[in-house]
Amino acid sequence: MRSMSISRPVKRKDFDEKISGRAKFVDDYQSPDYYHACILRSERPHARIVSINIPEIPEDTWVARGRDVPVQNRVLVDIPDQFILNDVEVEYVGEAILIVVAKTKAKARRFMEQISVEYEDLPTCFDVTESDTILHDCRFVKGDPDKVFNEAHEVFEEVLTTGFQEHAYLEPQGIVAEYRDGYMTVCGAMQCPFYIHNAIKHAFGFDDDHVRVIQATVGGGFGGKEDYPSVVGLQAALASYVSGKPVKLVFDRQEDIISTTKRHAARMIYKTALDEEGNILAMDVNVTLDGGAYLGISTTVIERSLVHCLGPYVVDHVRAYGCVKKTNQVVTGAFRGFGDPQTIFAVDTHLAHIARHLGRDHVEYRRSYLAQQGDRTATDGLYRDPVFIREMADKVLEQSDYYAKREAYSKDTGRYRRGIGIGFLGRGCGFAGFAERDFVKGVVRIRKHADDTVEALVSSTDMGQGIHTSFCKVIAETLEIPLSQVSCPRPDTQRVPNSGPTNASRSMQIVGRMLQRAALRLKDEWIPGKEQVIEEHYREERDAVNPWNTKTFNGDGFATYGWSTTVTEVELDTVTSEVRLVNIWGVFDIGRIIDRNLVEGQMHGGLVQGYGYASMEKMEIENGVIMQDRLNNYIIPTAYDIGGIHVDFVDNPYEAGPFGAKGAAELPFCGVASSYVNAVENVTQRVYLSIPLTPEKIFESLQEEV
Amino acid sequence: MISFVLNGENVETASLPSSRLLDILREEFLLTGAKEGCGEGECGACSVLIDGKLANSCLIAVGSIEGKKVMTIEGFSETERFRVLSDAFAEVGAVQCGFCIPGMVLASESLLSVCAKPTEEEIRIALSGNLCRCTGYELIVKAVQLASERGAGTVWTAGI
Ligand code: FES
Ligand code: FES
Repeated sequence: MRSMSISRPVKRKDFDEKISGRAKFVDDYQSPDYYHACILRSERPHARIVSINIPEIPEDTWVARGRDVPVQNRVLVDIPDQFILNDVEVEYVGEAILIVVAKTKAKARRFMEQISVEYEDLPTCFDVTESDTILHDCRFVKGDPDKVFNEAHEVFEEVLTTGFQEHAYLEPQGIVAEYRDGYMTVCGAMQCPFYIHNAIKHAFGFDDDHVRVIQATVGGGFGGKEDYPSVVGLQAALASYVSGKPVKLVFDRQEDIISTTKRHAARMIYKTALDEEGNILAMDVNVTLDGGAYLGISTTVIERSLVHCLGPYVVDHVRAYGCVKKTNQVVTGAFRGFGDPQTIFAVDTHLAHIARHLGRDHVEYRRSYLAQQGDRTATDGLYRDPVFIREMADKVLEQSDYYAKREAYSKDTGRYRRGIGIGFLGRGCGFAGFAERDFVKGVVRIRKHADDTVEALVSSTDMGQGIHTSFCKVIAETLEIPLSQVSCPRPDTQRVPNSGPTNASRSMQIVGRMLQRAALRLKDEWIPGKEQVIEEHYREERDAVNPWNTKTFNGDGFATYGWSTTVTEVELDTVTSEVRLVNIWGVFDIGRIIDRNLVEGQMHGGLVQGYGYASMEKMEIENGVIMQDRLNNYIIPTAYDIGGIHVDFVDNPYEAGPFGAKGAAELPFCGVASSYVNAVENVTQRVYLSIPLTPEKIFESLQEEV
Repeated sequence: MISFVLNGENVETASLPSSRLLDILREEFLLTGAKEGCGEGECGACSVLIDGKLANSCLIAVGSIEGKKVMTIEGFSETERFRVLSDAFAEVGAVQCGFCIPGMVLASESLLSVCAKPTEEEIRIALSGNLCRCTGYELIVKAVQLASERGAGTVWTAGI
């Protein structure tokens, strides 16, 4: 069983330097030559800047403004809409106005505090339902929903909402930049070095060779270091460009929370047409995401929300519309799941509510709509690979002893009452449609040195998920050489080709596959003692059954799909309305496991982050000001908040993935919210339409009659 | 001058007594194993041991540690107890991004040094001042259990 040995855990390559504190995160880079940057930020949600009063600038201090950017004062990720620095008309509290550079952070801050800004306030909007600025929208239709809705016996309608979420990576954002002799080098916390590379070229007009981007050890990303480091990178680069000094720009926690992207808050209207027997005939879905002040990368986020609007369920007639609306609030961006945790929560919860409304068992009712191989996706693509979600449901129900507990807990009467709930999910792995082929066009390189050690050269970043170790395993296993002979350095754009960004759970499935193909070629061509370089390019390995159409949103949205089911067991204190997570079970289909330890770690981390999202991670923005702007008021789960976590897998090798692997890291996050809400509903016998489902909301619900 | 014992060595600093110990460690002694995750005592990334007890160095004024023993991850990683913990963390796969990990290791040590055989609940309580956003804590808790199984009675002896 050679192919299964890939799953056996190894010690991760960066383990020793991390456990001993030797690993260098961006703030750990120190040099007596460094200068430090501070950013003056808007205090108003929408205002014209009338004047900026800057006292005489002392020696060895600089002030950088938007007009100092040589080519275009904009941040290019998808589109160049946000400003690097904006001193004309600010659109949200926390938007960067100017940068101060000085020898120490304290000096920079002291000078910054003497600068005053005169604002003229402009009209604001903080509520998507009141916003009339649509930043982007999209829609699709499958079947004939108009006709089916007209003939329906009943239409069941709900409005479900989800809140903002803060990434709360433990390491705040930061970049060190150095502009010297016409070359710009930046190094720091990032998921996507070539995003920053591209953004710097665009804003400064440098060519490829004059920009170098290097990843430092990254202290967690979860999407938060996908798009936003382009902003930080450009700001640090500009600070160095203006001062001529190497400049370090590292945020403190509060600055990080108020200025960096969040998960999109969402408002989702689900209408479901039912026949007399309660069968689902058609669905109409309307999703609004809060984009904040700029579109940023939200185009892809709303598209992802929409194509996942049915979650793991099959419905023949669908009408779906999604939009991103503008508000004068912090910009929303990439976050583990990328738009689908919202709709997956909504559709799963909605189906459970339909069952409740019909007086049916919500597990059986939902189960009967779960996809099977050969079924059609929301966009009329084909689930062509084996789908085991029903078997996985059986497994998780049995492992958690679901039915016995549900029965037993329904008789709980004391102060502490338990409940158990379940959620189901299916989601596309990697990018939608032909993005890999047409836009990313990823490249990887394997370099064999004269001493026969092998290096994987890729732009994929390890931010904790362990992908570099997993890549080394794929190569070592393919070449049948010891793992110690293979390494994967942190990317430096001067050394690695662009294998695409690190996001969308694409790294193992796409980049890992290219590395496996490169390793297979190297194996054939291996000449001991000789330096050899093998390059591989992305290619589609199987033809789409129903090719994706980006205009109509019809076809195979994804090459393949990941599946999971989550059972959550909770205990409610009926006096305080506090909920304790007693146990959580997850069964996952991620193809084949590349390293059991690393994958379990991803599943645990995703489940707990998903639990935080569902239950306690409340972020309120009042008049544009984030209320929970520190780690003492934005509350994430601690070790003491979590009971037992139990994860299991089905082995379902994906034919176009390395050793059968497919996307993994986002999956565990996306299925917790509906499972958690379902568990609390089973205790309180109330219906909830919104997350985070906090103790305050539960308390309120308990004041109402059932 | 403020003098204290840092990782077993007598040291002095001329910095203001009100300076944060975290900054002195990182900037003056170039010991960057203690990290700043929040700067206000919430996350534990800046954990050090002061006279054997876990402390958030972002909340400690350096003037208050005159004559005390400060142990950072750099010093602790030279010990036998670290090796037992490190092996356990490696074996179960408890490390992801690593930003919280020096603090987690020191929090584990501070527990095991007073209670060599903790229950799972005691471990969870002991680690609850150290936030981790990557791991969901499960494998860190397992690692501490494993280290305790192996080290109780030999490298950790209290409370047995
Ligand atoms: S940095 Fe000291 S507790 Fe967070
Ligand atoms: S391993 Fe990343 S915060 Fe703990």
